[in-house]
Amino acid sequence: MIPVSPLGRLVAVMAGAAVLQFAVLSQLRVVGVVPDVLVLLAVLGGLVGGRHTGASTGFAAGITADLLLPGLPFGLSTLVFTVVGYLAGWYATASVDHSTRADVLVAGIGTVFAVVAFVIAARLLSDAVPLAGRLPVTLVVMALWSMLLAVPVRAALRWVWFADARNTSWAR
Amino acid sequence: VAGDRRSPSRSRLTLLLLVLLSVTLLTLDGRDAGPFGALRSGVSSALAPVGNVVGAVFRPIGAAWGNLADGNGLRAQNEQLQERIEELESAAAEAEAARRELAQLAADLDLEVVALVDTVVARVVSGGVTNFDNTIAVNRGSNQGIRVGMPVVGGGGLVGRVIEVSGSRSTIQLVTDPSSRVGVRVAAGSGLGVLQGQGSENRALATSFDRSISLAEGDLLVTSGAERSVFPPDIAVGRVLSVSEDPVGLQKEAEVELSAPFSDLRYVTVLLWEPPR
Repeated sequence: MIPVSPLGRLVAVMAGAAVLQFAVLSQLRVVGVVPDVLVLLAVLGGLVGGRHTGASTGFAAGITADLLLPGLPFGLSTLVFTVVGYLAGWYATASVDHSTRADVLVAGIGTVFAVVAFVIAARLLSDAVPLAGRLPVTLVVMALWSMLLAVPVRAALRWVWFADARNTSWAR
Repeated sequence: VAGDRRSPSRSRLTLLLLVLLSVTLLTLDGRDAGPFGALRSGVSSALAPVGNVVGAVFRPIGAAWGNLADGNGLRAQNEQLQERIEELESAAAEAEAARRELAQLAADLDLEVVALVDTVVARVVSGGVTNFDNTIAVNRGSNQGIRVGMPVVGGGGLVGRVIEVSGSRSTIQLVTDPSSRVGVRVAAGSGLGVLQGQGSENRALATSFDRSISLAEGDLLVTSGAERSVFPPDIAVGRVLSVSEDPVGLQKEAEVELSAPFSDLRYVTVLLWEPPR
């Protein structure tokens, strides 16, 4: 099998996430709210690999999100998701509980934090006002969606960063 | 975390570099200096076939679910629609005659009349890709003559404007988007205002009306078509629900019930009209 670097695997996962978000998840509306796998990737990137991995994964997820969002300034998602990934990594290095259950819970809470951060950044850096008038319900439903998708997304990110021992030392 | 062995200072340096890169992207996009529009359009073009296939799979499932949930309602709705079709067929014949007459008058008087603009009917294939965008995607694009900036109507009212186009798909920013601004005027009067989306599917806020103008509940607001407006004149936008004065008391503002049925948009009409440059 041809060896693939973590960067190659990250690109593959982001491409897959873009297709999944664009074609499938955008159709799954519960009270008008769709799951957002790219926010989840940013949060779980930090939980899986720490600050550096979180920031890198958040940056990649943000670029992917920016390519899918024509109505918002390019770079907004990249900025917010990078910081969110780093902070999730900071939390993960300080935390002692790395069980699946804890990660699922933190994925939900992290999603709420990421969405609020996005809305604030959008207000400060552009004239966009995303989620105006429906923020509370969006936060709750998105958090639940993220908790539902956390386990497979975490597995994908572990494959990206820790697929082999040689790359493990690099990624961490 | 299995172990984050990088020193905190190296991680912070990485964060700083990536944040600077993000801010650079934001700045370039703000100055329209980067190829971001083309990149987004390319991604949309590449993903459109997959989206259309998956949408075709999901649509019948959603429809079947709706039918199961509301079988009786569907039969009643079907009967109403049959009656409506008969009414509309009769009205269509009258409208065609009126349209010919209007075209003749518009040509004689050199007027811009929105009813005479060429149109493309498109099916709504999805809502926004994420929760952060108040957009819809339709199954028609540049292959049918659609361009960025063209206005979109549906269900008797203004829906929004095209913000991204690929060959067979277009993305439309809805007027419900809080960052959307539409110049409006009172259809039966002369007052000019600005309609701003509120994120709600059927309500919006119209502001900046002069205090001296007459504005009342039930008044119809239409696009103003004022100079440099991105919409042609006289497209119905919504009806005034209530009128108040702004906090300073210098201008009037109105809560507006939007004319287009945003919660049930299945087909829209793109006006092949481009704003003057």
